[in-house]
Amino acid sequence: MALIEIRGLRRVYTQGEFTIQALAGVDLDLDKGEFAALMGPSGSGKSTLLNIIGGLDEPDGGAVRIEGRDLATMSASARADLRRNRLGFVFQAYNLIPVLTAIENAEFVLVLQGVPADERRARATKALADVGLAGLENRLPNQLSGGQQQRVAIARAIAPQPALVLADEPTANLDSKTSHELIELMRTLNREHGVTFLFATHDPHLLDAVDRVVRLVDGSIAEDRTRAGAGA
Amino acid sequence: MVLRLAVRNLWRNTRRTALTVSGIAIAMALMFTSMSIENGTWNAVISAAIQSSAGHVVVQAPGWQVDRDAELVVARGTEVQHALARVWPDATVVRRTFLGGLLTSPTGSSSVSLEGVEPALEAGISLVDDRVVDGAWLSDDDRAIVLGDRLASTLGVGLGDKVVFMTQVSGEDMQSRLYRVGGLLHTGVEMLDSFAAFATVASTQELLPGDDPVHQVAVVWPAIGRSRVDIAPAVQAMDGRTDVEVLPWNRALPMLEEQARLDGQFSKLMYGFMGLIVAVGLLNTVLMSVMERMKEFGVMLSVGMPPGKLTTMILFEGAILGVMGGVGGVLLSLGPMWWLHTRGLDYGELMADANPAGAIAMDPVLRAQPDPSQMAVLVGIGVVMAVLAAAWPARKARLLQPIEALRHH
Ligand SMILES: Nc1ncnc2c1ncn2[C@@H]1O[C@H](COP(=O)(O)OP(=O)(O)OP(=O)(O)O)[C@@H](O)[C@H]1O
Ligand SMILES: [Mg+2]
Repeated sequence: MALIEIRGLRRVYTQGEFTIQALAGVDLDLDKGEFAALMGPSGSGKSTLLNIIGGLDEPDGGAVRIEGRDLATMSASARADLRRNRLGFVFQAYNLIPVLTAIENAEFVLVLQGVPADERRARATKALADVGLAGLENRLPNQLSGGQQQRVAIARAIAPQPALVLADEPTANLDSKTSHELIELMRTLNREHGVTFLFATHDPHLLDAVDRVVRLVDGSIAEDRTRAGAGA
Repeated sequence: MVLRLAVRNLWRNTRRTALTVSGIAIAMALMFTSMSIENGTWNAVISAAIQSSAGHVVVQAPGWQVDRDAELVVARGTEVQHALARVWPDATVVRRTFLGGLLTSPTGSSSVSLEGVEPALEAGISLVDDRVVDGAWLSDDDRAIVLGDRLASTLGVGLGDKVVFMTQVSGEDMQSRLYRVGGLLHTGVEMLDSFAAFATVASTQELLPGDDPVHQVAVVWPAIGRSRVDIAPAVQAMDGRTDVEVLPWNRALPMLEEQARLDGQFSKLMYGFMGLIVAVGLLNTVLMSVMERMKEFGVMLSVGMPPGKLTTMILFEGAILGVMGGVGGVLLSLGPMWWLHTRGLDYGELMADANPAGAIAMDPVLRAQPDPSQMAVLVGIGVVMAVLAAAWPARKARLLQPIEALRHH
């Protein structure tokens, strides 16, 4: 069974007399351990697809199943539970909680999960070390660089050991050196810890690093290419 | 964690939080201070009135309370007085008579209300003896009378002069009695200075029908202010007598009670308005801070924060503002209240004019009287209002779609 199964997914935006087909019937499977990216021109529906997979947005047709569970049958709070327990999110703009320190941001989801204090401190500390931020645990977001903030966001996403991390343009706001380091970091997390990643991106570096590229055009899949040597 | 987040969120915008808290604190402090003055005023007015015009408990003839008819006397007044003294050994028990009549001198006459009192006992519970500006307060001399100074000048009499008091108790013949002016009073209250006279109870009893007649036997505890006293023991001590009626002060002085109540309601209305203004300010603060954090809420919801926790966090923020404001208000008001309590405000004549009933016995310096339980209730109401003010923004946040919240900038 695939980690994610998407069948005939449609999403239509209506604005006045115009309707925009953001997703026009998407079929896609993603397996555990994949390191895959959605690419495509601006407005092709990448973010829309990620948001629907994450249960943040609802489709107008078709189905999304995560670990066999159909999102459409879940209540809003069940979807919140799913996000908390099975998914990690990384957004383009680092999106940390500004009043919490790096370590508190990293353990935020663990707190929501009710993980005991000692254990979640240990896990958040390890996640921060994994993203290369050992020693900066007590900094507030505004005391960190953009790249460091995005690392904290990644630590927050991976600390709960999610089945899948959804990352929407995670490198778009970073300079190429920083973005390169982050890509390496996520690649390592994928290889060594088996974290599944699905990106939406225009970043050629990131597209170079992934095993699989799904190209969207006008809300449909135009190409789904898996590279040689993928799945390592 | 939700609480910690709430505290930090407030801490984040220190200036806005400080402004909001001081707004609440100042409003609260104003309320506390004005309430303590009001409390002090009414305590003073009421306890003065209780002591000079009635008592914490009074025994009178049935109906006298309403009619003030001189024929409605309590017979065997001394017996009643002794019975009450046995019930309440720690209280002062006095007999009084109240007679309306005409006071004449060789050069004039005036209507007058003559109060028969027990001079030494009355001096112990009322300030009337301190208002004597010329001559002396009454002694056991049954021939002496103490007059208001304006009354004396109307009559054209001075110390040592003779005056005749004439009265007619219904169903009886016209009676009269000769007095000699022993002292002059000045209270600053027109009504009293022009029409009041005091003599011994014994001297007035000759003008009344019955055996040892009085109009009122009053029980006074000088130190208990406006507290209520259970009258049951007094009723029992009256031993089934049907010609007497035992009343607590609030029934003996119903107007005063009512006035205090109305005044209290008026101020409650004022405080209500004040509270509303503060609440609107608070609503504005919380709403602003919610609106500018929409995106942040979107992140929290995206990573799986249950919407209920978000709501709780915002309600906490309101509650913390309320608690800090309330505590700040208490702290702020302590200084002024302490000052007003120890030094007091000298209202003097102003107060006397407003409350003739209590004027004789009233200390013209009003002291603030803070009421901690009342303050606690107000702080509680403040916190509840703060939470309510946060409820609307909290609901707004709760209904957020994560995706829409994320799109905010
Ligand atoms: N809230 C919305 N209301 C109306 N139209 C929307 C909304 N969100 C997205 N769209 C439209 O849906 C289409 C797909 O948008 P989407 O954001 O998924 O594109 P994208 O591939 O992520 O683009 P980009 O690379 O610029 O991020 C676009 O045409 C966009 O204008
Ligand atoms: Mg996008």
